[in-house]
Amino acid sequence: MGIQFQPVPQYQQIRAFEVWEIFRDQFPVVQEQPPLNAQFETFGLPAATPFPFNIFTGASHDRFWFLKEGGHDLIQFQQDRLLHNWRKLDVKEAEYPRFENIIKQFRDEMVALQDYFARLGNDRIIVTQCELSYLNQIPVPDGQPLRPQEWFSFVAADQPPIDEFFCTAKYVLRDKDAKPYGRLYRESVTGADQKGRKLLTLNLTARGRPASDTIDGALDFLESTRHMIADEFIRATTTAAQERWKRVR
Amino acid sequence: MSPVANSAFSLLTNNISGRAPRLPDPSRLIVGDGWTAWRDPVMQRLESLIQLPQGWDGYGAPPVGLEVVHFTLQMLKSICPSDMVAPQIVPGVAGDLQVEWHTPSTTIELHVRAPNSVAAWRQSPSVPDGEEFELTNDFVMVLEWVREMLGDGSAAVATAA
Repeated sequence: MGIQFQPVPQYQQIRAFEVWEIFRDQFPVVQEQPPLNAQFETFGLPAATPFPFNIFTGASHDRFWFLKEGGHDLIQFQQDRLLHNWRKLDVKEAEYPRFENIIKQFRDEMVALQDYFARLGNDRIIVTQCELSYLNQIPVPDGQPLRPQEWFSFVAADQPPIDEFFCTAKYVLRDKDAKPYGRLYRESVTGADQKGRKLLTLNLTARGRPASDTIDGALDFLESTRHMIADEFIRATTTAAQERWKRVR
Repeated sequence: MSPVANSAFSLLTNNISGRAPRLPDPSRLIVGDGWTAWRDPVMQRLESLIQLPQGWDGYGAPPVGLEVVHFTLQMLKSICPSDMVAPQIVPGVAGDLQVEWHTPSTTIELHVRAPNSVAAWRQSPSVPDGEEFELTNDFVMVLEWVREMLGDGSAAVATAA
């Protein structure tokens, strides 16, 4: 889960160490990553093929990963982003810590960052977009035919085995006045894990503008879209798959 | 092409030998990488605006904010058909910018103050006294303005600042 916010005027990349200091006790490992471009869900024409948008100004901000020992919990920070991820690095290890626990941690992290920015002389964080993602990975045994209909209810039951799979659906998220504010993406695609083993993935992502641009507004967005993602998970997966996932968890 | 960009249900390769299943007929063919007439001039203009020197107006104005530029580009993708002429884009003194189209009969101005904060104004034969709205990330109404402007028989032209 994460937020995108307006960059604060009094922050520069040289202060990234100070941000790490906020989280360092729990996240003692740091990695540098290329920055994420700003993203915005807007509404009008149907989305066309995206074209690359790379601008080099001579002053860009890296993205930093702050990791817990073991690497399951991860904070991502750059000048306009704060994300908290939980990753299952191996099928047999690490219990999913539940949404309620993660969002509580993320709230504390947003508040801590906002307090830090305030100490630099800035106003509160102004949230421009929120994002919540669930990524499920399904191992595909070597030599076994891939039958996505065993996992996904939107694939015809008589679909012959296939080699590669790629399917995306988007839903518009609307407020109580039917005005659009975000989208729910469902992506299913074949790929490989870090060890080269074939996977089928189901990625459910809700992304959009919160009703209020505050931390509380972001929390409301994450809470509400969490239920939308859960509903879509139930809609998009077969009963058999849901049973198998329960067993895996 | 990114997974998000391609919403087509794609069965890339089939392993079945012998009995070849019939694949659905394609309903559309997507060619190229999203070419638009306005893309290059807009990209060049936006790039120049974020590289304005501090105090470019003589009074300490900052360059246009990168987040404003990203949002503006996304906004334009939501309202500009592929053969739309590039708009005039004018920097503001607070890191903001204004997007403008002018025809002999219609003017559309979009003041992007920050992401999700846009003042949209237009004057046209249907609203000779002009109308103004505050918008966030929903630009369906501006898309209708653009369609009306393009349908009035006058080519949209970008005017000098």
